[in-house]
Amino acid sequence: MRRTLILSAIALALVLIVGFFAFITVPSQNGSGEADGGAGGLFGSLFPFNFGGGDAGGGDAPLSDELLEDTRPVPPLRKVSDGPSAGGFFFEKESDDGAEEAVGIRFVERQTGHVYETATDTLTARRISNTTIPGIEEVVWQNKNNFIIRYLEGEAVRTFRVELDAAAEGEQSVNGSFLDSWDRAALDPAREEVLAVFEAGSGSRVSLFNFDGSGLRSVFTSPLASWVPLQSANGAYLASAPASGVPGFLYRLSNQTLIKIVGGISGFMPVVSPSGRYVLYSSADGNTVGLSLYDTESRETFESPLDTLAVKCAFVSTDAPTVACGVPSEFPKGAYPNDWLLGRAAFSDDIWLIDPTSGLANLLALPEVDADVAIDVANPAVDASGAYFGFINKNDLSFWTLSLKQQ
Amino acid sequence: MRALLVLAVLLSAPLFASAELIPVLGGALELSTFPAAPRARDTVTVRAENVLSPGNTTFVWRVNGAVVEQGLGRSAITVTVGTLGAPTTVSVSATENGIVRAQKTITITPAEVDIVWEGNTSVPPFYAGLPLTNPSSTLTLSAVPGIVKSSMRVPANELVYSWYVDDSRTALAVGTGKSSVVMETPQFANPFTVRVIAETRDGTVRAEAHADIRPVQPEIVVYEEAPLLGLIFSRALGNVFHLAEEEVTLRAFPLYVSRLDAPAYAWRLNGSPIVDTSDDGRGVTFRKSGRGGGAFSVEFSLENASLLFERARTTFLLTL
Repeated sequence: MRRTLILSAIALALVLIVGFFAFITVPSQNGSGEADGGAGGLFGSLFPFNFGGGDAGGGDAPLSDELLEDTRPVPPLRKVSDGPSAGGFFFEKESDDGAEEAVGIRFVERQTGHVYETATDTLTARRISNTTIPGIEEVVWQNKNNFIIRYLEGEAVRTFRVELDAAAEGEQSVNGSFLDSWDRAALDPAREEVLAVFEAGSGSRVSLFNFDGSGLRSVFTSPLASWVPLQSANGAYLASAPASGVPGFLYRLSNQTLIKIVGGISGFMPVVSPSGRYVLYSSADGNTVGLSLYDTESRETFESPLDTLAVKCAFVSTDAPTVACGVPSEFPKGAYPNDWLLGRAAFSDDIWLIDPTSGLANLLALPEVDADVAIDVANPAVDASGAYFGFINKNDLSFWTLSLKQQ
Repeated sequence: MRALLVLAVLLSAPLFASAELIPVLGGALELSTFPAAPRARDTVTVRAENVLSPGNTTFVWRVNGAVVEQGLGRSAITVTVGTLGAPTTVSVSATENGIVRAQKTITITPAEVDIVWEGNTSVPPFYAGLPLTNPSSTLTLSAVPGIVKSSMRVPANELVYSWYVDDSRTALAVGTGKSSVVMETPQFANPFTVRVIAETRDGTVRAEAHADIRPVQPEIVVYEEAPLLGLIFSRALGNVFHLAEEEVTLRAFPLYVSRLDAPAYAWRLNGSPIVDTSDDGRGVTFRKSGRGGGAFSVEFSLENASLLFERARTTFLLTL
């Protein structure tokens, strides 16, 4: 009896000691939703459902729990994934209280390949799939249940189309099939067709196919392999690959023929609006970068009041010349866009809403002030309602969203 | 007497006629345009050529039949041409002392051609930028024409292309449908210019373009290869890499080299060769051993014995 009491006392003391150390080492989340790094997971790993009010597995450790509950209010600038993400996607959903229609978000954790779902009106995240696929470099989303992941096996790119069961409740395993790996691809605004460039010996073939890989048809062949494909509702395009100081061009693909839209611009990087009417493009020579908008109907070119690389911008709606952009506070000495594309240069962006046709720009966020973090916007996208701007922070590969509704 | 006077006049008539026939033209009246091959909506200068004394010559200019300019010495005009394939007719008459000495008409049909090129060199996976050419490599150039005739776009493979390098009068390549060429950099590291002329088979519509190309030296970019994150292409190693974890795997990617399997690769730590690398020699793993810190010089180099300019080296400091 006495021995039992002694052992029980020792056990209780051990629990208290562990709990004490967990309490003093667990980090807190700031108002931007960002975890302050560090251990973080000790308390969370012992009490995975936020027992005791600590954070839920924050920092750079991979999310490993099915439900990450967080009842704090959602900040306008929000770090959605605690760690590196391969990409996120907006989709329409009903909010839990049925009041305002929230926007759903799914994102893929890069280290594990697990898919998580959250929404713009909550910080709580739920794991959708638990199939582990590490090292995902790229995700192309068709919808929340169908997407393509790309990763490396050695230096060969593997392309796998994932199909989640829309009717499944709780976590599910990933099913899908491998597709032929392309070198560069672009999805149409309806997310039905993929325009892809496949390097083929000396040169390339450009093909269109359905998202599930069916209906493959060649639309162009070229002695060049570095074409960059783009799509709008108006058609398919090929742009020359960008390089600092090298004139580039954008062509529309029509019956195996290239028809020039705009070009002869150094360091040319274009982004075509969903309707196809506008072409946002950046020019670059050394560390001199410019941003312009070309209206294909009026044939007018408008200079943006702010300069950035066009691929750091996304059109806010289908047919308006307004874009949300990450705008670097400065361009360090270098050769752009080469150095940024290679990962040699990193930026600290402010986020702006820009209308080059009017010359107006509205400041949306100062991440270094609002969230105490340097953000380098990559893979930007705007949800269908035009209310949210999503992007990867290239500095740490985390996935972020910014509410545009405040503007 | 009267007969003699008439005879004298008749005999002297050729003298007067000869004075009126003194040529004001150095040859047939020609019209030149600048630019020589105008693109759509270009402003074109059209100039009368072979006029010996333009100051004494009255020119009357017509564009699409309408007089747009006339006057003494007005030997050139500017005209804005239309869209691709839309012809603009320019005619001029040269008059002296009220006598039309010559007339000339040309039709300007705007056309265009672009040169899109790439080096046949290596870039890392997922890199969306242009492979550049190095002084030893080849490059591929493709002409993308925009030539419209009789309101129909002429297929690219039905045009005649002529390719030239720098000021050479000898074509690098000529042929119908010859819209692309593969060439070696002509003068090692020196910049060079490639010109292309694309024209219809009958030569009536013509477009020109040139590309100024500067070869670059091969480079090396090194990325961390994390066990679960994979290759972190978003962040290339800089001058210093701090080893925070117990080990790190790094992988070097040659940039702008012709063949990845040709060069000899070497990793060095503080000048000493590292033997234990990946199978292809481009990957290496560093592990901490023992305690304490330090800084180590790491070097990765590549050298292609058969291509003089395909060599590169990068160094960084590995700190613990």
